[in-house]
Amino acid sequence: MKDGVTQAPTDAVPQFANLYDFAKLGGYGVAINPCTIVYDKRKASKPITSWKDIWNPEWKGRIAWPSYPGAEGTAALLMTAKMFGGDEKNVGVAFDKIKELKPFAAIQSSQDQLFQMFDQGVADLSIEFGPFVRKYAETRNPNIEIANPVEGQALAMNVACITVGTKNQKLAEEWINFHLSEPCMLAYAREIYYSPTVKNLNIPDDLKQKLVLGADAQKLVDFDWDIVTKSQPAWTSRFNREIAG
Amino acid sequence: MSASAAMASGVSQPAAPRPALSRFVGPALAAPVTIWLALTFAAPLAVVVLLSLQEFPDPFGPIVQPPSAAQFAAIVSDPFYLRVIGETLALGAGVTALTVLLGYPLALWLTRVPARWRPIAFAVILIPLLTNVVVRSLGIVLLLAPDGLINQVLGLVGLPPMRGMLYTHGAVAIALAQVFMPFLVLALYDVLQGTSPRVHEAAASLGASRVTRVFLVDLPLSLPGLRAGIVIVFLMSSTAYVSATLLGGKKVWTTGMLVWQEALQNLNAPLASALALVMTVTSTLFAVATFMIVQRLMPWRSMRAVSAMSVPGWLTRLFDLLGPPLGKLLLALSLLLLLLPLALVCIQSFNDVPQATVAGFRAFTWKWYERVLFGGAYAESFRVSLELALASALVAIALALPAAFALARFRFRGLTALTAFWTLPLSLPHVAIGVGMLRLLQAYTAVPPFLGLMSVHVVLMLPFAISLLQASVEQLDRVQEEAAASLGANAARRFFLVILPGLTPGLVAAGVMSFLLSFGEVTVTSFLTTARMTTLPVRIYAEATFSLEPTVHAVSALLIVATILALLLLNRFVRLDRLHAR
Repeated sequence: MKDGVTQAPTDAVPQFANLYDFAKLGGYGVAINPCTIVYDKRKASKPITSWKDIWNPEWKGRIAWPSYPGAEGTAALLMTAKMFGGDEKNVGVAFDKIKELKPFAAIQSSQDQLFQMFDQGVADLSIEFGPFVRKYAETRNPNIEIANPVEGQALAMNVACITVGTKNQKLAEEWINFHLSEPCMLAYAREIYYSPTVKNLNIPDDLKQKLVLGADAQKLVDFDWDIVTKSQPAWTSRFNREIAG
Repeated sequence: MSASAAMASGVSQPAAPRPALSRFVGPALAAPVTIWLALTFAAPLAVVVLLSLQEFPDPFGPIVQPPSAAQFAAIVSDPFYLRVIGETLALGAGVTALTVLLGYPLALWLTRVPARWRPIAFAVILIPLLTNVVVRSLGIVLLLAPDGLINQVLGLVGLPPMRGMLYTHGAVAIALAQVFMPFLVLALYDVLQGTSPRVHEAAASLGASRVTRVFLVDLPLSLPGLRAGIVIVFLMSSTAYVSATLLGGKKVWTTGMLVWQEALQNLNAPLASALALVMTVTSTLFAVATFMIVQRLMPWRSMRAVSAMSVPGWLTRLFDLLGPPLGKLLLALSLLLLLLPLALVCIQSFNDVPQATVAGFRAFTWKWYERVLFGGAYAESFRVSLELALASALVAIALALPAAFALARFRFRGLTALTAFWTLPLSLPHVAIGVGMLRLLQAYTAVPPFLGLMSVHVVLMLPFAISLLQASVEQLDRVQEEAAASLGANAARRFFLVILPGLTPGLVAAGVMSFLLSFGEVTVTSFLTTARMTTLPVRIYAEATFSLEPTVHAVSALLIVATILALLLLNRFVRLDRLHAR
């Protein structure tokens, strides 16, 4: 938006009014796909309720840490920072805490790899996109649990943007509005458990348990993406050296 | 009257070309290739050098900036980079050793296969060579996975499974050996089949057994080919990144992966360029060292005296005892390594599993093929790949044909240097070309991405196309041209009615090889594809690093079958064992 490539969202899209505030930044949020802790519940002495539970000794050597850069790796790094008194400007504490978790069972660089590791019992815990893992758990591996930590899940969102100078302004707005409509949102929720970005939906009871809604949605943790983007090279080199190596 | 004049000139032209004309014809024929390579190969490499001397990444700034050694200082002073570079070189050395061990028996086998079966034997080498590296790496995943083929076989004989095979240096080394072994085998085959049978007869008459001859006759005489193969395998494996990414699981780092990450994820082109240069230089130094060491092992090549060597009798007896079974075992292993991953990919394409890398056969299904053939999955990137491969192959042939004539029929100053320049794309890391071309295309956005991709693909094809066509031109019967000229055919008629039909096999061969090379290219292409235009193998690679459905195996199996069909077609025109660059 700042670089003059995409337009700011406006109420030319009727559903704009019902978007969560965090879904109005830099475009129209169309689907929430949050990152959270996923784990094999057979290996847990009690259900995971906090990001700090990762440091529970029972997980030592059983964690597949997500690689950085990447949405999962970013979420894991910054949630760690926030848990232990740091933030986007102060991630040193996160690197130190993550190092405490070593040795890792593996570094996972894709959900395919992670699912394979869960299937084969190579690792028991990781940080991943919750919706995708829920789909995996329901279709392939019922032992995998998707945690909903009290501190909130890490916000990750699909955002639709209208480009500056488009010839199809009206069409684009209609398309986005359709995307934000109840049938479309519910279809996504049913198929892949994306949570809606608008508040005015009637969610069937059977789906409510599986989505991030209401208070949970307000609790989603967002990051300062300007700092995140700018710091990526420095964090990458630290990750390669201190975590992955 | 006019006929006799034409006859006079026609007869004299090929036999004793007029000096004034021939002085320009040769360089003129050599010019198109040279200009193309200067623009699309030398220019990106020059950009890489310039970028590596920039102090800060500045994606939209000018390419030429005050030189700074900051990037190199950063690399040299950083233990992490030094460790990765060291590990990459060690990995390259390991892969090379593995390749020699497995490739040598294979090359020997190729020379001994009866002539009738040789095309099939060659297909065994060429099919993997022409299948894209992502597919082959996925095949290795299916082999080594915790529920993969090896563990299933272990389970059958009652052994516990080995779970830790994937995502290790060993897994990457096996994948790279699979990918690059054909190059070594082809280089070896060239020299091995050139050894006169009389040398063997002489050795045999002096009492040398077959095994002894392999070590005392074949091995020394094949050293030049072995050297060429070692150098190319080492250069390629120490700069590869695709297999390392897919099979290393982020635990294995190679210099090529660092270059890719810095260039594409961190947008730090200067650091990526500096790393690419360090990689090029270290690998080249290693290659030069190999060259010189092997040179010392061949004193007869520089006319130095060779002292007689005596081999103790017990040693030859030991070799005679162990050689044949060991050789057969290695041959079986190398054939399995080449073909098994491809076979596994084909089997997996009928497997009803939820994700592409889940090994172990569950149930038979056609659904992946349905999605590919009727659901339109991958159709768009398939179309891009097809167009790109066709366009690139046509351009490559149009450029390579005059060059082949220049090489085969003309001698002029600088030809040797030009020839060396034309084959450089074979031995310089493709990653470096990718980084340089990416920056060039960012600077000149007017160049459509398709053209950028095509230009690089042509560069990679040219060495193969030129050498194939050169051999083809050399085989032309010039008497026919003279006869046509004496009957009054002008140059154009001679070219289209005599020369071109004679070149058909060579043209078909060069065309099919170029097409297949382009169709499977990933290393450079993945630097240059855009969101709207991705080739099939790059799309598969991108998905493989995220989430992959078994549809990919259906696509790959179709590609493998298409490659086999293409080779069968080709075999009708050219013998397959004539099908590679020398």
